[in-house]
Amino acid sequence: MTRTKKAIHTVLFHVIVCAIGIVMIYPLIWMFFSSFKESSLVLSTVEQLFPSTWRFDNYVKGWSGFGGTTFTVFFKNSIVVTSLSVVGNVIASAMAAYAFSRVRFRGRGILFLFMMVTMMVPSQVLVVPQYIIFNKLNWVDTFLPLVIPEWGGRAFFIFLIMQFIAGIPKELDEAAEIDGCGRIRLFLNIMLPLIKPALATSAIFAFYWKWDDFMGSLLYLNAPENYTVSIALKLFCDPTSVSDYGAMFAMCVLSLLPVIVLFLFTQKYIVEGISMSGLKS
Amino acid sequence: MKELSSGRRRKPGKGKYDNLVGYLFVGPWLVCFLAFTAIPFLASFVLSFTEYNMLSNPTFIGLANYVKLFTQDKLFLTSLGVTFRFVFLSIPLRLVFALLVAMILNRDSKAVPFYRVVYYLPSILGGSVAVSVMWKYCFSKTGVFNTFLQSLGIPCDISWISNKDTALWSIVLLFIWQFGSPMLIFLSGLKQIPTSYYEAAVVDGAGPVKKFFKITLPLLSPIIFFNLVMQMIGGFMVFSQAMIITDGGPMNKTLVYALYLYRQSFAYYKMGYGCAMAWILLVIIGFFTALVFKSSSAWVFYENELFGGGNKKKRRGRK
Amino acid sequence: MKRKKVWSVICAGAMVLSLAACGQGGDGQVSSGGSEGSVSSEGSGQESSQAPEEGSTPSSGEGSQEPSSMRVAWWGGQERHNATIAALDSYGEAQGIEFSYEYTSWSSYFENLATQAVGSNLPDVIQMSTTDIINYSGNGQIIDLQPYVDDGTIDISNIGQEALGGGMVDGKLAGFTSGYNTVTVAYNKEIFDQAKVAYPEDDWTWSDFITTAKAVYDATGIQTEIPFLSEARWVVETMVRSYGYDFFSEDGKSLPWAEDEAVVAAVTGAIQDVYDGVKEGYFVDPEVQVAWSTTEDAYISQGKSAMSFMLSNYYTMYSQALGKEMGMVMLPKMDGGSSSGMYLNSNMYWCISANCQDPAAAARVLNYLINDETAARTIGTDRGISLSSAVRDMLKTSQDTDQLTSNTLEYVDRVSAVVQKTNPADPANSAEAISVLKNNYTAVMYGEMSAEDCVKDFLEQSAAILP
Repeated sequence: MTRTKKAIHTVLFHVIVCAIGIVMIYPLIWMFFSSFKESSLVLSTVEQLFPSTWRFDNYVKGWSGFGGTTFTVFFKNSIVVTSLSVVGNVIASAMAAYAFSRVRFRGRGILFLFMMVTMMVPSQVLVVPQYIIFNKLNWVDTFLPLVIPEWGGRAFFIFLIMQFIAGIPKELDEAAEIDGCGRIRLFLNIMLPLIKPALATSAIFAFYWKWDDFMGSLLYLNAPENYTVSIALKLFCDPTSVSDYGAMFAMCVLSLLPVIVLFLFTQKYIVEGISMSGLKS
Repeated sequence: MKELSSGRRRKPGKGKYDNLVGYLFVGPWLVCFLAFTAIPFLASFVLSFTEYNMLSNPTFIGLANYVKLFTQDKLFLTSLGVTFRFVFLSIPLRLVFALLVAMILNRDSKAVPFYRVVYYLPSILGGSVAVSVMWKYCFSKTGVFNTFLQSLGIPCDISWISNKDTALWSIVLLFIWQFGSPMLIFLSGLKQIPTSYYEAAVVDGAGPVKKFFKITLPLLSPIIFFNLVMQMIGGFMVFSQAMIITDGGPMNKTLVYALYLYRQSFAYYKMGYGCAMAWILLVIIGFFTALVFKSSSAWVFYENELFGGGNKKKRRGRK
Repeated sequence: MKRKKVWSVICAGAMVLSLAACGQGGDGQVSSGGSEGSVSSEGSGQESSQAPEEGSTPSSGEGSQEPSSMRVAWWGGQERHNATIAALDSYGEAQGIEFSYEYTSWSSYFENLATQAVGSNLPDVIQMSTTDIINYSGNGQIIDLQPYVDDGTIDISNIGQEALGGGMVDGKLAGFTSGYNTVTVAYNKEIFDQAKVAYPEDDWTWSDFITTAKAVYDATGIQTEIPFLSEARWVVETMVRSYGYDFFSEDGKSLPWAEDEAVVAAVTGAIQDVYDGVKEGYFVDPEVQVAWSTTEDAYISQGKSAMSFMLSNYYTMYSQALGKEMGMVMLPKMDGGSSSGMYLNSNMYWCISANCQDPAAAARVLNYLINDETAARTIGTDRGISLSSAVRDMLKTSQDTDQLTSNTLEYVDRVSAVVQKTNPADPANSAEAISVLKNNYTAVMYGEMSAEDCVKDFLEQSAAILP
């Protein structure tokens, strides 16, 4: 009896989750199939999901890019910028979060306050002063303005990791200190493994945000040889001329792949779960 | 953030070491913060007292931008109103939805990792053209949503994205639909709750509702707190959703604050004015964030105090 | 210590501001205020090397040699990118110029450009819009092109000085019109045939337009699109023009027609006519029309509307989407108006930035883009209908020119026979004023505002907005 009940539950769970899931990602499914339609039919046959004839030339045409600069270049740039950013971002964020949560250094209250407050100003008004700085540093048209600031971490991740550290018993620190375990070793050997889910979450967001970042990339990269995928995707579309939606969607689909792959790869760390009870004893 | 506010000092002599370690750890952040965030941040404050079109030098005009905002600019109040409505509609809904989905997907099954991808995907579509096409396809007058309502026998033929009363809802809905980031954070928070607590609760005969309120909610409260603060900040600054679906229209019914700020700064070349707007927004967000932080002592529980070993200090209002 | 840090940060902020103030001033120290030594040393070390590097891009000092590199910026879609690059590449190869292209999409182009201007880092040759040029010219970011016209670097023998008026800002030739653009009413011939209603003619009046829309609707049930719901200015402009007024005064500080009660009443009446049509159903439901953003959304391209007001450069796109050749007719003139309200607009401009090291070479690039047959053949009418009669004739007879493009060419010829002057660039703060009109016009169609209030409020608000 209970077994059948459980089976019914399981089936019900899958049916409901699948049904809602399809509604959730319908736009993506639509984009995927549209990328095989003839470009002029993409928007005139919105209601039709499957293409009447499958065309793969959108991918070829899209990949060929603009004036000889192909998506090979754009993808390469995006991968370089994003991977350099993510690594630095997660490391620095974890370090800062640890210090803010567990180290009683002078001025941390005010620094934390500053960190929170600077998040509350729309980035639109920071763009111009930031550009002046990077321009004076002679960093414009290089990847540096996109990568270096990330090596300081992001307030969002710092705060996120802090909230996870807050869930870890403080006795752990104290016990470790009594053991003569230094702060740095404590951080590396005990803290980092415990906050793995937060780190994985941060890494996914850091990757996606950087991958998707359009305005920052555009401001600091002048030459098309340095353009990232996020800039290139916008180049298909122009309100005053015919937009090649087929090619654009084809490249959109490809640009989502790295994010999806990373997500699949990382999510096991998010959901691994941590047996805190084992540590406590 | 009790730890931050308490000035309690431990052993004397320990402070110096803590300072050293502390600054070593926040070092990278601090350097980048001072160089790339703090200076532009302060510059925007100074610029808010100037007339600055970016193409020539700023001229100091005192409080004129602020005076104009509060006395002459009708759209300032309009956009503020739109933003408040947006935040109070979308943030609670987004968080509840994210938590709900995170809990549903927090189970062991072979298919679940796949589902997680599916539910996270809408968020990585961002502000792409596909989203705006789809939204129009679904919520226009002859869209899928109306067809669906009609099939249920509800006669409905308004254009949801351009009706003056519902346009904002179409953006709220888009914002909720992209709930992936709070969901993921909830999910990792849920996974951090030791299963032993649930096991113990089951032994005590607790049902799912009781487990949720007695274990999940309190133990997840630091994460709920985080998501609430961050989503609120993000909600007040919402921009791209409004830009791609309605572009502020019809009749400014969806002109959110950041969109208006953007127009003033870059379309009308009034960066000084935009900076003044930004700092007013800062005060507003700051006020609400402070409110949430203040209230947090009443509802945010940290692991070590709830199930802490030695010092069971119950400073909180309720358990 | 804490206080010291706060102060140093504030000082640093003030310094950045002073940098913004002096713009190209190279002596400011960006991060010296920061308490972290590493940053400030890095910062000042780089700064000193900045100035020579910036100047080193064009290598020639004599002017006899072509510069080795030139930055060209524009917005557009894939076709424009490819065509422009192809055209410039062939010029660059012949002249030994290495072009670096900075092409983006429309939506972020000006945000990017303004930011580059802050850093004195503007590209050498810039594609500019009619609404933004005033800001760049007024603040000395782009140079006067007249000297290069006068000395023959830019050849206008097939253009004529009057045609350049579209790029004049405060008596300076701030931008060179890349091509004409104008407004038109595109109509679906089949629907007119079906309704047995005569095609509109260029000399039709506003009331003809209303009766035609109604007649077609009565016969077929097919509606007409609300005139320029997306940018009311285009339709109001023709209205006031048929009374002989410019939309904006020459100094850009007022609306010259605001004082003429007859004109204001006529505009109000015309807007009321449209709203009446919306209520009676022969114009498209504004809730539907306001949601359109792509070509495919519009009823005209689905064969679901009889007439549509549009900019002439959209004609090809909409006809292609419809799959049929549409008719093109001038906007109706006001019944009490003295002349046709038609006007020629600059579609966009080519400009040379003030920090271009070799403006003469840049002017030669402009000349190539404007007059050269190869360039014209490659780029076509993408940036508007060429000012040069030679280029227009060449395109008309060219094998590559399709029917739709030659329709547009022929239409612009018709318009330029009635209109003598090109519309000047929009004045400062006009973008904000125009957005008020757009909103009010939409509100009228939604039934949220009366036509009188719409015009009155627009006139009041723009008086405050315009400098």
